[in-house]
Amino acid sequence: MSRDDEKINESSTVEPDGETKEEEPPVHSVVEGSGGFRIGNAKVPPFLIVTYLVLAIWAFGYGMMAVPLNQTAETAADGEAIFEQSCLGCHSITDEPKVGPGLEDVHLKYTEEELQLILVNGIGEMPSLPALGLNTEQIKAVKDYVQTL
Amino acid sequence: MPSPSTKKDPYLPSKIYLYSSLFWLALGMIYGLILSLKFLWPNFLAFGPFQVFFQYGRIRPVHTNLVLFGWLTMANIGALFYVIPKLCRNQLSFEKIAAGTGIVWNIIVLAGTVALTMGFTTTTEYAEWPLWIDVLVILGMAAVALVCFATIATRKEKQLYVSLWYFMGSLIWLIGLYIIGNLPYKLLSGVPQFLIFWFYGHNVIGLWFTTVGVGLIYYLLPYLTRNPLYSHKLSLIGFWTIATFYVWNGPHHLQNGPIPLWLMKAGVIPSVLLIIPVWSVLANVFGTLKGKWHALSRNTPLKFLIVGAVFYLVTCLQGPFHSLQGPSSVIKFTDWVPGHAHLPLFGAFSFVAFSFMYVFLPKMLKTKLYSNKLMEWHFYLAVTGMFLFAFSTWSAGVLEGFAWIEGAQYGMQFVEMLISMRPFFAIRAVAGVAMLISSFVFIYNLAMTIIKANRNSQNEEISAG
Repeated sequence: MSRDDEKINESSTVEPDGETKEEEPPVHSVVEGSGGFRIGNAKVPPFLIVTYLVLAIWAFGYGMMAVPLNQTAETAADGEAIFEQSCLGCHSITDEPKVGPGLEDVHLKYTEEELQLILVNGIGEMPSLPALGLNTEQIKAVKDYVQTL
Repeated sequence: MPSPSTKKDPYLPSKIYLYSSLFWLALGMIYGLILSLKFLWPNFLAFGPFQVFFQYGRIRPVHTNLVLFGWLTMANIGALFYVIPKLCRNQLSFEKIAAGTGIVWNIIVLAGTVALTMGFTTTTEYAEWPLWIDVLVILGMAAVALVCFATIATRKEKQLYVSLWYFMGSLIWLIGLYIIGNLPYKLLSGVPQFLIFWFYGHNVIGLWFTTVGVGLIYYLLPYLTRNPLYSHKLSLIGFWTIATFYVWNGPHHLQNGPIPLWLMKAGVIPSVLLIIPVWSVLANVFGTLKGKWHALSRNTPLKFLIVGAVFYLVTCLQGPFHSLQGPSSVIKFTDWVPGHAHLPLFGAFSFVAFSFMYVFLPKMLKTKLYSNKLMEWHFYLAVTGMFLFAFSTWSAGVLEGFAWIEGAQYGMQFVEMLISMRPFFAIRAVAGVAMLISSFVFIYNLAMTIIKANRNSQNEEISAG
């Protein structure tokens, strides 16, 4: 198979009109490489060297100092405070019913899984806690608090 | 090496792969569009047997496998079979085996697509095909690697050009990754299983599609610009750092998940250090382009190549950032991710494959491309589609991520959040249409080139006879 059609340096791929003006290569010294390619030996640009160094320092620092996200998050949600804000309107912490039943000894009435389902989905008239704008952490805090009653 | 008869087409193996890749591209893009329409109308195509065969959970892996292994892998292997002999100044070794693997690979993709459509899946992302197909894949890839390495071993050129390093690396890595990635669904369970799934899932992109694509960029760029490659040293740095850091990318997919802290760090640090190979490659690309930027305005394959390289840069600016704990806690599981995943696979490396096929398929056929105008249309439609897709999914992803943090993970709030994403899904579908049309323009253009070339060669044979 002849390689006549593959003389890279003579093909006019840059200028489709056939104009083949020779330009100064942008690198200092150029060697003939394989497959007709010329390979320059430009130095690594300074901005890249700085990048390499910064990344190396960062990698070391991260390796030494990073901690999981849930350890840096703001203090754990306070179940009692959330309960007072979002639940106390309908539920008392004694066995006295208000709009909803009193929650004393609720942990005897429901298992943890059942409580979780009720808090996440709501039950009867009671809205689900996510619908009240509470997130997973906060719901867990409320559940933990309610179980202590 | 037996000398092949001069009448035989030396490009036959390459052609089998490239022609087939066009077919799978068409099919894969159609599946992609159906998927994007299902985001808008969840009941789209939900009647009769289609309800089963075109349900989201089945066609999503069908789409990814078709475009990854049908289109891009076949286009890549076709390119390897053309470029490697050119860089070695010899003929492809074992041409018959090479051509045979092309046919086997088509059977594999077909069988995989049928299996997924019937509901057989391993649930490993990008490795959903059943185990018996995986065995065929390994054998096929081993044969492809044998052909490529034998060609390189018998080369008439002393020096190994950069592209060849990337190609040789990719061929070894893909086989290793594929074996490791496809076994754990039988052998492991729980978190270790998913660690290996993600080792495979991320590295099949990074150590096959990326490295073959970068190798092709290194081949196409000096070819199209007629400039020497900017820096030998930069290509060395780029190659060895991607080889070192990429395999550690898997654990960042389980970031903030149930894995130990040291493993999280072992995933995050190399992900961020990937900035080194990416910026080194890009510095080499722009260095090589020096003084030839004007050529971009008229040379459409060069446009594809450079825009592809820029998309690669953008993807790899996102990647390290995603892998960090904070950003990961927002965007994980959202629509941001498909936007990020389409950027390297469609935006960067499909663009490189488009560029390669526009330049070298007509050369293999000793003819000219059917239409330069259609090529321009393909370029602008594909770029528009990619931008629309990326920005719609990224915006939707950020909104979804913060909505979930605010508590919209459950019940009605989740549904409301989903409904409010409809405008973004609509833009995504429009992007899908643009990308589909662009691909069909590409396929039509090359099909017409092939048909015209075959007609000409037949005429020549008649007149010669």
